[in-house]
Amino acid sequence: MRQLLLSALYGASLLLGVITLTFLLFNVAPGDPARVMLGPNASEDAVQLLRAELGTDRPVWEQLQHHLVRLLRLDLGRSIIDGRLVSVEIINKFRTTLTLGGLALLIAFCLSYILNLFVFYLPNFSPVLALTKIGVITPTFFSGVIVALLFGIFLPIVPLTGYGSTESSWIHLMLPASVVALYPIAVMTSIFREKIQETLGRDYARSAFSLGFSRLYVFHVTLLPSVAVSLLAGWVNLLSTIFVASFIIEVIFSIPGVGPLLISAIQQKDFPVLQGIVILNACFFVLLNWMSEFLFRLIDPRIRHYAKA
Amino acid sequence: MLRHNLTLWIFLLLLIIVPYGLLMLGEALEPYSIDTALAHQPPSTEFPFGTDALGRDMFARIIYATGLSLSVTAQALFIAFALAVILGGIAGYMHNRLPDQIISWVIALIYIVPFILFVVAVFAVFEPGIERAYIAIGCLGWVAPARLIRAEVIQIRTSLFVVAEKAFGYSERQILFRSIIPLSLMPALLSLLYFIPELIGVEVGLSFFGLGAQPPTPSLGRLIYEGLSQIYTGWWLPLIPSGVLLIVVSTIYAATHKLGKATRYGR
Repeated sequence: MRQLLLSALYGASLLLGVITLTFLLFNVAPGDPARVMLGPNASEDAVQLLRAELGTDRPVWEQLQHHLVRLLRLDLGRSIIDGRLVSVEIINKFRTTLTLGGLALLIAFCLSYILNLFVFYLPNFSPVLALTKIGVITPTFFSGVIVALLFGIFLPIVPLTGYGSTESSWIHLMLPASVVALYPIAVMTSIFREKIQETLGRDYARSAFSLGFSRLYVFHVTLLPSVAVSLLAGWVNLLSTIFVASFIIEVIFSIPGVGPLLISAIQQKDFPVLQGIVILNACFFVLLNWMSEFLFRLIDPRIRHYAKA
Repeated sequence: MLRHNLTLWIFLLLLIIVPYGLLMLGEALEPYSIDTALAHQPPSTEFPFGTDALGRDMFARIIYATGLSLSVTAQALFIAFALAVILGGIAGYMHNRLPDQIISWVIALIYIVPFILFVVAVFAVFEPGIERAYIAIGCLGWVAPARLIRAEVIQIRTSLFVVAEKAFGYSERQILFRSIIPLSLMPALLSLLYFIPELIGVEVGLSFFGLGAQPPTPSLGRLIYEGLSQIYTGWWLPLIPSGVLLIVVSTIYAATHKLGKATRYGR
């Protein structure tokens, strides 16, 4: 319990670090938000007035304090281009990305489980091994390009784009999500194979076999729990990759998620939006890491035991 | 040991020579010469990789782009390796003391935000460009190998021969720089080499966000991104650069894998 509280505090300190860093980056940086908002033709008085309104004329330390207080109220400010609330804008796009990422995660999870079972029964079946090797080195955008070409030009049976339009559904997300899922499937299958090979040599695995339990039973009851934590850790590490891959796939398949938002924010130098995206991502991953630590303890009695000792 | 491993040195030498060779070759093939009469030529004997919308020879552009991507990757690796050895070594040697806590905190901080998002944030503010992009990548990419070096140093620090060296009266600094760090270099170097495919991938991602090489300079990511919007007019425009990238990445990956197997630190 105390350990969990400490790690939560550590996560909070990391979050504070990210917030301060992005704040410094976007404020010490060249470029005056008031000037960007009003355009080059505005009078100096008007710019001065807006600066006072935005608070950018005060010392940096005071601004940072103000910024942190605002963040506590979940206020990320307004877009300097069109004045929309950044928090609303980002949460909407984030939902799309989360749906895409989540769907990809689900596909990856199911498929890698099936593949793992397959690998367990036929550990040296070379096509699976070769495919996982290819999957590990194939960058997501490359498979994205291939799939876009294949289904867009030569085989137009599945809707390629169109998520976010009026009669869209999760069907439109299936293809992009499967593309995102390819890399995690390959990585997880190879990690799993390694771990299972390790565990198979252990005494308890051999004795389970010698007691006459079926392969299916040994797989689920003896082996899976003992490698669960390292598998879960692998998944948690992959999540940030899945996220970034989702951004890029969103750009390729024109899905209105965080990826396209990121592009427009970069092009228009819309710093509040960029800042919001970075902070929201940091929050997400801090929370995720903390929860996974909690889960590890829940799943594996060995960790609980060593932590107490 | 590092200094006796001929394969490793050849590999590293190739990593420096090949990119600059490709850069010079690409330069000689005139990647910038525009001839709109020859726009959108499919691959032929004259233009093995076709031409783009402005009639530029894609073969020259791809050769140049590959050289550019690889050479800046090598630069980023150099920065990342130097930082990883120094900071990881210090953190491992000062295990659980203040310097280690600070360095570990910074590592965790960089891990929290997706790598590419950091680079994107930096280049939204500062002027983008491929060389600058890789300096930023090098300044962020040291975290993974630094973690490895730290773990390795912690392990070596408690081993018997270090205790013996202490008994012989070697100073702390001598032990750190002459015994511990050389021993932990190899796993760190390997982890960095494994990192190359990802680095090249980051460049592609940056190009997708418009922050990689600025036109007219061709980089692999830029070529793929530009080709993608012309996928219906010329299939070769996105496909060939993607294929070249895949070949480059998988070659480096396979070589690193072999190297890892040759030493005892392979994955």
